Amino acid sequence: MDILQIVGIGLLTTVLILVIREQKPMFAFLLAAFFGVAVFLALIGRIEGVVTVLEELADRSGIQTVYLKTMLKIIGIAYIAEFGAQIVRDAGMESVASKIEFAGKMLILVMAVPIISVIIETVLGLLPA
Amino acid sequence: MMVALSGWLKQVVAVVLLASLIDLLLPNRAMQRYVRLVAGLFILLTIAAPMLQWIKGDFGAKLSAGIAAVERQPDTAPNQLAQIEADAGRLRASRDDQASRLAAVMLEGEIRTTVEQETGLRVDKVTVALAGQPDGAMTATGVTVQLGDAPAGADGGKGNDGSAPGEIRPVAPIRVELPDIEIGAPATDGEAGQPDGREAVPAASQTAEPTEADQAERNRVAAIVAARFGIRTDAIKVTRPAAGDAY
Repeated sequence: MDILQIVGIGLLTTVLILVIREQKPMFAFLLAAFFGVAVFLALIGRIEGVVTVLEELADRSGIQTVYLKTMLKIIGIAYIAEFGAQIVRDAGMESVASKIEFAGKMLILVMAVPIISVIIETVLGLLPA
Repeated sequence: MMVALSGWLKQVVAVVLLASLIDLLLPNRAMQRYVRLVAGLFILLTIAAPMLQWIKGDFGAKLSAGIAAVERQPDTAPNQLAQIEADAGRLRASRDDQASRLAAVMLEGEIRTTVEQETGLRVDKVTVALAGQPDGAMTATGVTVQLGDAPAGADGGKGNDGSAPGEIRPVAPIRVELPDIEIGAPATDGEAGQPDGREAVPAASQTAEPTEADQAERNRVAAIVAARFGIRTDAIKVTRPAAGDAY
């Protein structure tokens, strides 16, 4: 049901944008951005169920919660960066969109730094002094 | 051994499942390489977990601390600084408050001991009010010494000789006077605990003398406290519950 609504609103928005774009490109961009934000906010509540299941699975299998938290944060960073980049790309600013994606990639890599440091420290500890 | 092995295997399977799920959830291909790197590191960490625990005891806590340090946003540093400063101020205030309370209690004990040793009077209660100075020092702004029901006539008369602590004083001669009707009546409300008219007369006879002796005694107590503890004389109150008034 939700997907029908979303697809319907999406089609409507597309038609509106196509109509408006000729007259006022600015409003067409605003409409697209608004639709993106609305869909994002409407579905962000649904993620809670998925996260709960994932946490339960992690708890049951005994993996450390920090793994799951980091993974979820990576997913969040990826989605938000992608969302922002697409909105900017819709406005025709490809270079700004690529910068946003670059920032997202960097932030994901920064999350890996503690893991890499732990592994490197262990490997160095294994080696004879 | 088998339990630990099965737990480890379960962890590896769970992390691989989680990694594949994350890979599936990714919005586009652009981030895939980076996310796969992090997921692969997690899988590696899980596989190597028994060895890691063997080599370095608590790597999980260290990893959590590292990730928390990474997540700390640099742009919120002023807010964090303000928060830390507010916390420090609160802690400092509570510590100063505790210190002043402790100092007041200790000072009260010292004053009580000193007054009792110097004068031989019984001290019921000592109250010290401390105030903090801007430079952090504490000053006693008010000292109230409440004397007990010591024999005021005996101690007041012999108080000024600077007797040594613990010295036994000779008992003052007791005069017994026969009561008169008209002075027995006002004395009973002064000495509430002695409704007997016969004992009320010495109290009535003391009404002229004790104020002077009492004042001398209070002066002496105040002078001792002022000299020993460096407190201004006008900040020292010496009270006696029967008299009720303060000097």
